Amino acid sequence: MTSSRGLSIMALLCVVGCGSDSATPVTPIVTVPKDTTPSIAPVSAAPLVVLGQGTIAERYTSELWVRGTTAYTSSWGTRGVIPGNAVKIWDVSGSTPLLVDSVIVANAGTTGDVQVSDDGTILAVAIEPRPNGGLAIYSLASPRKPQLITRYSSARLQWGVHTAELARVNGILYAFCSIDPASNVPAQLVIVSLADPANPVEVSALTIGNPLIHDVFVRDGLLFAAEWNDGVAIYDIGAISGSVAAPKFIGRVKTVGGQVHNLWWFNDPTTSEKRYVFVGQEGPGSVGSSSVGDIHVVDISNRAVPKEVAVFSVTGAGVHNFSMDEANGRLYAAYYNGGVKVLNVRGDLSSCTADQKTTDGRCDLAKMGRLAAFANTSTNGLAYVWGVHWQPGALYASDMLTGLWKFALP
Amino acid sequence: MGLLARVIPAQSDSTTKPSSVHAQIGVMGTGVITRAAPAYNHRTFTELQLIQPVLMASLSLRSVTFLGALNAEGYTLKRGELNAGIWGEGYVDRRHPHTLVHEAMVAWQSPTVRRGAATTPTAFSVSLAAGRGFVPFGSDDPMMRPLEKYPVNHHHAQILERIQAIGAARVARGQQAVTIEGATYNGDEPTGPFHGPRWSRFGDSWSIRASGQLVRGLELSASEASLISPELQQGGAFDHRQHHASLRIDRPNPRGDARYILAELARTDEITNGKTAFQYRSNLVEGEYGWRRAAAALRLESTDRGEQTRLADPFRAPLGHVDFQNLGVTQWRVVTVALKAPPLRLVPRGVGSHLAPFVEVARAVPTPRNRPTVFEPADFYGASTLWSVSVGLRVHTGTMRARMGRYGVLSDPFSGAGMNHGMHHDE
Repeated sequence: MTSSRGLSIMALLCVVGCGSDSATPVTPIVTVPKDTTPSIAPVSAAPLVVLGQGTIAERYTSELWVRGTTAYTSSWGTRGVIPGNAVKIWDVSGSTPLLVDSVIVANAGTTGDVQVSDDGTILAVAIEPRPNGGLAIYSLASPRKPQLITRYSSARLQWGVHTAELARVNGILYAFCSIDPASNVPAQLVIVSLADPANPVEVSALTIGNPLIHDVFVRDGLLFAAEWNDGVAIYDIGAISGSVAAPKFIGRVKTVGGQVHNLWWFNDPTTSEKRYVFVGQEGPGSVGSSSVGDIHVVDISNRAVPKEVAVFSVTGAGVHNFSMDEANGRLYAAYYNGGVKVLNVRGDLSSCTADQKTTDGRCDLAKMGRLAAFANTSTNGLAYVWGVHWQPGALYASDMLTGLWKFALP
Repeated sequence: MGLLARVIPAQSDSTTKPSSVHAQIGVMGTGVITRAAPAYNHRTFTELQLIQPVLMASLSLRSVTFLGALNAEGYTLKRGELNAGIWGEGYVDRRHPHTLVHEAMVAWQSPTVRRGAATTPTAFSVSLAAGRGFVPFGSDDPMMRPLEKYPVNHHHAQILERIQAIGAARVARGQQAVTIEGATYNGDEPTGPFHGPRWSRFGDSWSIRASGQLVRGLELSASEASLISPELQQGGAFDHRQHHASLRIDRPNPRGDARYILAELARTDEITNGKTAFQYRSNLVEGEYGWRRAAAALRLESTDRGEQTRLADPFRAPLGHVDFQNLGVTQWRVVTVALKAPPLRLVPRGVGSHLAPFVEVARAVPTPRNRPTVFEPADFYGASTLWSVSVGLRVHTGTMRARMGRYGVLSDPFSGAGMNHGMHHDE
């Protein structure tokens, strides 16, 4: 073979694949919005003061819920070889969360969602993956010693319950279970009555989401569904003529970029305004190290025709779950590797100056100075905040890598 | 000429004549004991498995050729074959069983048109093919290559078991030839060995491959493919854009001993909402050298694998990424060496049934491409280096095609040219 032919061969081979060295970015490839203000370490916003941290090193921590002086954190995936089958129970009466007990959920690989009912009587835990998917219901007669009431699964739930939201509709407690899709198995929202927690009953199942239904927010008989690339959909499940058994579709908006992951419908007790739904977008990322996705603000003044009016972006990090201090108009957002962001969301979020708008006409909350505070769950730069939970007096954050953090409020 | 061409006499002595009818059939299977240390969580697994039980058939009638392969791994390999680093179709670190209908393609080839000088004319031909089989993309099926364990890059470098239609054109002059193939097919990968495709998805994905033979046995290839949602049959998961280039030399010596090299580069982009989310690369070189019907083979590979959460079975992962996330990217650097003894003839002067013993050793070193990561291979496996030792016997009888995934103008199922690694021809 001549040298020129050899060079030709190498040139052809280098059409793809060349440059596969350590300097080549492999994952993730994050597209940064052109017109957003980098704010991963904002200058104007104040950091929240860390009160204390309770460490979990053997599992990845996921969702959290706090009621009174007790917190519950769930766990995710496999760390080393230890599955995410535990719910940790914490005494958070002091500055530093103290781990007091654990519940092991048999045959679970992930307990990705955990929530206490509004009356504090039961704890619900979502269980993945298939074929062991389901819902575990615990009695909180003794809040720090949860007792299993029942473990519920079904032909639908066995595919894996990704999120399970507890909400009351017309006085009855329900679990709204978002079921993982699989090949030839569509995503579904399965609504389970917990009127008798020992005997859960499936009331309805909606095949929604493209390709998945990730989460819901339920309030006042309205169900807001995070239908990923189909956007945010609003259903009447008891507000007017709809019901849990027969939800009625009201309206939908496809937020910019889709990937609708979680929601919060802001009911402002001060102004009685119920205009905005905050939408968490989860773009592709590598769990534990990178993330991407914005907060989208949807105006539901006309529920049949919701409209996205504002956005908040953080360069280099993506949003995850929300919590709100509605009385003070503050949205707390877990931001994975970006820590926690606190936004002032009271007032008109749809009106801003031309300089404060994105190129597509939405208001940019960062440019509007809406970032009120931020929190870091790391002293060494490694953070990955899954969830936040506000309650009067403190903010709690669950970091997948390090455990449970407690912050003073701004 | 294949073995059974003598056992089942062809109705014509030439495949190029319009009236020819030609049939071949072959059966193979490999029994292998694999010891993987560790396979998972400090644990060493030793397993005896029957892999690649395949019935292969070819039938040519005038200008129409049928190529078929039935693969019974769905019966013999339900839990998958221990194969550190490999993934696909819901299996991780175990190779998935292939579908029962591994290949069923019908191809029509036009008469060859010759132009130019009578001594070295330029020959033109075109073909159309349809059925289930290998998409014209990437390199040959690892089943027909010299090493028993599959490379990690199987799903970066091959797209298989799709319902497809292929158009191809070939220009040849002397030993040189250039072929262009284009295909459209269903992007969804099989969900199990006995599951068919979602027929409504036929035509949602495409590929194109250009290949050229510079001299006899030396082939260059470049290809590109677009797959829609391969991991969720109903759609909506990541789309894939794949690129591949390779150099292949296959020039057995006059005694039939292997002289084979393959060098390939592959890249897969996972795309959502029109944007690349993750990108994986692979570099691979392998070769085989035969001597007096024994052979030694070597493969060097560096391939990226996107990590997914596992199911209750640590060797399984959900199809489609949960939340479109991954757990990081692991770079698998694998060295595999195989030694093959001369095949033993099972029946003296019989129909050419052979027993071919082999031993194969693989050393895999998985490391995260980026840190921090939630998937630390050393923690998951319990060691930073994974060893695999395999001892096996491959049995075959009849005629197995030297290469798979070559239809129409690229198909020459009745030619003895090239090596079918592990199978030996009697000529």
